Parts: sequence; C-alpha cells; structure tokens
Amino acid sequence: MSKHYQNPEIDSKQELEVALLTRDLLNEGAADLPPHIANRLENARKLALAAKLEERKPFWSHNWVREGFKNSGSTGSDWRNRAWSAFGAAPIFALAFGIVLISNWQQDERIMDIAKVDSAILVDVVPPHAYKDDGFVRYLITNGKDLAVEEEKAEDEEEEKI
Amino acid sequence: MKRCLIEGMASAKELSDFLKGVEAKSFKRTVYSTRDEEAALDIVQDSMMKLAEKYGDRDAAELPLIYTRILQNTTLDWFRRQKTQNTWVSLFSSLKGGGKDNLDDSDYSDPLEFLDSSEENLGFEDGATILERQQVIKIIENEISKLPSRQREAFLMRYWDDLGISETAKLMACSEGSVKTHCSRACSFLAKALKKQGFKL
Repeated sequence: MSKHYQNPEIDSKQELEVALLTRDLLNEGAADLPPHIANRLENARKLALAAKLEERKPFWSHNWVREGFKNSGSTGSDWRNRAWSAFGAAPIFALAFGIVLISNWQQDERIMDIAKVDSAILVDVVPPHAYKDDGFVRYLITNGKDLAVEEEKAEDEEEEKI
Repeated sequence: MKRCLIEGMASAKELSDFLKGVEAKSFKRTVYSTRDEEAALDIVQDSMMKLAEKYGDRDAAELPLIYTRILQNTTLDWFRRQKTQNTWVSLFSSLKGGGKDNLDDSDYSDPLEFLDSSEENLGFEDGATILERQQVIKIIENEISKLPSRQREAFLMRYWDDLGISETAKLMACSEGSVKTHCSRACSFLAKALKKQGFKL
C-alpha cells in the first residue's frame, strides 16, 4: 500500500483506531434514537414493505382507488370511486375483448369473400375479359348479376348497330 | 399463485430485515449531511419506498449497495430542491425568518432527553457517565457533519457500512486512491476531535 496519498499526521494503524472508535460512537448514537424518530422509521419501513406487496399482486387485483384520485375534490370523484370499486377494470377488459372479437369477425368475412372469388374462378364462370375489369371482385361476389345485365345491354347495342 | 405469494413473503421478510438493520444508520448519516431531522426522515422513507418498489425482487446480497446508491441520489435530489427553494426564499426573505436547518446543539437534540429512558436499562452506570458518553457522541456526530461531504461519505461507507475500497470507489464514482485519501483525511480530522475529548490515540 503506497503512502503518498496519506496525511502525514496519521498512519494507517492510527487511522484504523480512530475509525473503530468513531464507529463505536456512531453505532451507540444510532442505537439510541428518540422514540418519535424510531416510530417514524418503523412506519416508513412498513409503508415500503406494503408497497412491495402491492406490486406483487396480479394486475387485476390492484386497488384502483388511489389517494390522489379519491381526494381530487371534483364533484364526480364519488361516483367514479364507486364505479371503480364495483367494476374495477372490467370495462377495460370488456373493451379489449370486443376489439378482438370484431377484428376476428372482420378477418373471417374477408376470408369468406376471397373463398367466393376462388370458387368462382375454379368453377370457371368468369368470362375472360372480366379479369381486366376493375370491379371483377364485385362481379364475383354478386354472382355476376351486374355484369350479366351489362353484357345483355352490350349485345343489344351490337344487334342494333348491325 | 399461492407459490408466488409465499415466495413474495419470503423476500419481503428479507427486505424487512434489511431495512430494519439499516434504517437508524441511514437516518443518522442523512442527518449528518442535511442537518435536518425532518428532511432526513423523508429522504429515508423515499429511499426505502424506491428500494421496495423497484428493487424489492433483487437478491438480498445486492440490497446494501443498491440502497446506498438510492439514499445518495435521494439526498442529492433534496439538496437540489433546497437550492431552488432557497433561491425563492432569498427573494422573499422578508416573509420568512431563518430556517430550522441549522444544527445548533440546542436545536438538534438534548442529551438529557436520552438520559431518562436509557438510565433504566443501564442501571450499573451512573447518570454522569451516561451523560458524558452522550455528549461525546454528540460532539463526534457534529464533527462528522462538519467533514466535507466526499470525506464523510467515504469514511462512513468504508468504516461504518464496512464496504470495501473498490465498492466505495464504485459508489462514489471515483478512484480507489481517492477513497483512501478521503478516509485518511477524515480520520485525521476526527482524531483531533477525539483527542480533545480525552481519548488516547
């Protein structure tokens, strides 16, 4: 251990002696705290432990009524608190469930539409020029009724020209 | 679920034991730096909450270092807030008198306050001896709070918390050599105070 950093007034043995003596005195001081401070520290410890236990609880069993929320002073705080305590996070779950349900339903609908198109193509009821038509999907979905009408009109026009 | 809760209780007990062990020390060391008991209590409580909320699941062996760091940071935050507050206070100084942050002996604590309660437990010691000892403790605590903050921090971590030089250096974000220098200077300063009180070193 180099000594260049040390204060020349004190050597390492004396330093240790001072440190140990001071430590004993500080320990005595810390062990003899006034009762009101000891109580405050005990309360602080209990609060910290409660915070840890609260954190460990699963998401849905949290106490949603917060102090700040309760004492917000607004007129609606009572019914809001009652609503939270009665239903908790149920509306949020219901909303999330609804969104998932709707997205599933939309996905199913899309698959059904595509299946209709595919089946129409396989059955080969699609006229070749329909593939060039921008609205051919609509044609397939409506079973070609729209285009059938248009075709008849076109044939009539051709006959008239002739 | 049950298993999770049981595990939680076990670590909660470890945390509780740890906090119980350090609460008095951390309060005292915060008083040494802030010189304000109320502020020290708030700082200790905040630190405990932060430890429990954010690091409560850590291994018990890691808690002392994490807690020391949290306590340091919370104390620093307090000083920063005080600085801002003091700027405003100095602007409106006519509205407020002197703060109660001073560590006057009369304001801080009265040794006689402890005497009544501790005399029962230590029946074999006479009142004068206890009073004398309490006074020595007060004087040393005052000397500790007079130390420059880095020296005090290094000394307390090294000799009161029994942290190693490398751990202390890591927590103080300085070199090990600096820690040794700080400790040596602090000891030199305290040695003078102890000698004044009649301790032979």
